[in-house]
Amino acid sequence: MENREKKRDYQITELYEFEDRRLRRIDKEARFAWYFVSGYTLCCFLAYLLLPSFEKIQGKYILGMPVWFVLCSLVSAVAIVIMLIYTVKFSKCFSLEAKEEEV
Amino acid sequence: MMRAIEMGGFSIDLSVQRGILIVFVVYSVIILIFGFWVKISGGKGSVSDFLTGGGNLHFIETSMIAATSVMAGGTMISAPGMCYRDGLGYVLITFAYVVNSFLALTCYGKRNVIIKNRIKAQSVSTLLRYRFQSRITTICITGCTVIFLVLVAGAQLMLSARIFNVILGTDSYAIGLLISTMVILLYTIVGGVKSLSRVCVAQGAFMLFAVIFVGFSTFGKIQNEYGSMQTALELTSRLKPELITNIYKPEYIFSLLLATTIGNACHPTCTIVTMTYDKVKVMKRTLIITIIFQALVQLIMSTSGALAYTLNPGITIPDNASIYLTTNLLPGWMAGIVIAGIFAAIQSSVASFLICTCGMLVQDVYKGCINKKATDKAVLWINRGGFAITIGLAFLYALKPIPAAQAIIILAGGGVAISYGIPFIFGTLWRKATAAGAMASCLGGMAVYAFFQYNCQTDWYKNVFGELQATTLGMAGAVLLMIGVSLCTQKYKIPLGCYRVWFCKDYDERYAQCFDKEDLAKIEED
Repeated sequence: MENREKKRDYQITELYEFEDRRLRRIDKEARFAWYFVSGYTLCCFLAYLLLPSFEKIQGKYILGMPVWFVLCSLVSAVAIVIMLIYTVKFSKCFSLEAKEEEV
Repeated sequence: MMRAIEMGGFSIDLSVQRGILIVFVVYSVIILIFGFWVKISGGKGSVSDFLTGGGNLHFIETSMIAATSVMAGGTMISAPGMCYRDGLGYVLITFAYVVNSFLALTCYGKRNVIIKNRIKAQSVSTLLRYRFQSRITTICITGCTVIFLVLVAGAQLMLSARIFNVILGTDSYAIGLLISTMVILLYTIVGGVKSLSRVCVAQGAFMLFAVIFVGFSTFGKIQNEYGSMQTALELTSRLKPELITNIYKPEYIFSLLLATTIGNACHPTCTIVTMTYDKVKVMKRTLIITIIFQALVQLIMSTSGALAYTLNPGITIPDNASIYLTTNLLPGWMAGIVIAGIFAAIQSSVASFLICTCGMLVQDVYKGCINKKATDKAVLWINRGGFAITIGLAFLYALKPIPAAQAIIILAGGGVAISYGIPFIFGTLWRKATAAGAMASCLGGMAVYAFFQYNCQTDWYKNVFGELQATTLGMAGAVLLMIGVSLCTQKYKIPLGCYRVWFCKDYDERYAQCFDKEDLAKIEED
């Protein structure tokens, strides 16, 4: 009796772990978005913190703006390019219908 | 009676005022026509049309809803104002807004549509109700979120009414508030998200022209007055050195960045976008357009706000920086387009907030918990009534203007991220999230947030946390409670059948309509 219950519990746990391949890909993309945005936030934070006090570029200008500001903006510019490339090239296309197989 | 208006550091000519008024009237008529066009052009008028636009909107429509609902008075007025006050440092913070939509749509944009189709959800909190299988948790999260959303909507209406002072004179706050509210009410109530989507396309166009005009006029004026941007900044920074340096402390920067990047992506108006399409292609195109649109608007508006200081360092209210650029550098009709663009940004956001709010209340609290047998037609009318009531509440809140409207937007925005965002994100992606965890996260996170917000001016808070914002602490508290309580309540996971509808490929169709214990009992009886 006890063994049967244990077996049943095990099966339920296994079912709870079971995933759809399409949903697994979606999870993978979601994880990428989280890592990317967390990394971006960290990079922005560090750039913002360190660059304005960096002596070598203080008082210098590029494109009419202070160099530190342009460099910090570059972090966002690179992030925009990565987001666009990821969306166009790597984000998977498949049917979003309830029970459809992936395309 | 129109007269030249003194705005504190600058004034607005009569001719510019007239131009603004004419364009504003034209803008309002266009918006109302767009709104009613949906009704005339054969919208079915169903609940699904009202709350999700039928789920098959064009990608231009979805991208404009995504972009304009995030960019409101903050982007067009307060952000330039902050950049005027704090310099280029704040410009960098506003750039961080561009990752909002990417995080929201890539994180749950596809999954939401799959689940939405499976359980036939028509609002964002239906997803929550299904995921956690708990009426109390849904009512609790919905209640808290609705309060914050109405507060944000009210504060946005305040900003909108203040801009009206520019058009008619400084004593026209109440008229401005009434007109703004009526325009939003009329175009939204006839067609819901379907008409909102069409209107957002027009509003997006106004916003785009507005920022282009502001950008060109600001850079052109600087070239004329100083010869180059570098000279302008160098000369002005002698007067105000913080214009070109970083004036923020690390913990403050961290708080701002966290709220801008992650906090905003947790907003229900980001989630509502995922209910409006059915194909990945539409989602991808939406994402591309939204990223480019947001980047362009943020870049131009914020940089112009900081550069406004080089043109007029005497503006007494920083929030008027973009109004100064608009009314003093542009001819009347162009200024009118910019002001209409600002109205567009505010109106589209308020409409999104309130559609979201009434969807949560009517669809999930009324139909989900009080009257399950309500017909589709009755629910549609209750949705319309709910929208009118919520906008009425926002109107009443905005009737007594407070100087710090932007502070309300920031505080209530933080509240939404904590009460709704954390439970939703964890519920969507984390298999171990439970209803108890969601409830603890919502209520506990808010308690932490309220406690620290209340104490943020005290000495002990400043000694311990420095300039770290209470929103950050509230979010951290909500995340910890979600994880801790969920792990402790694994015994009370949702039924396996419902779990499989959410996380697995193979699922039993009967469980897709199982929202509580009564439904579960019926399935088990069968």
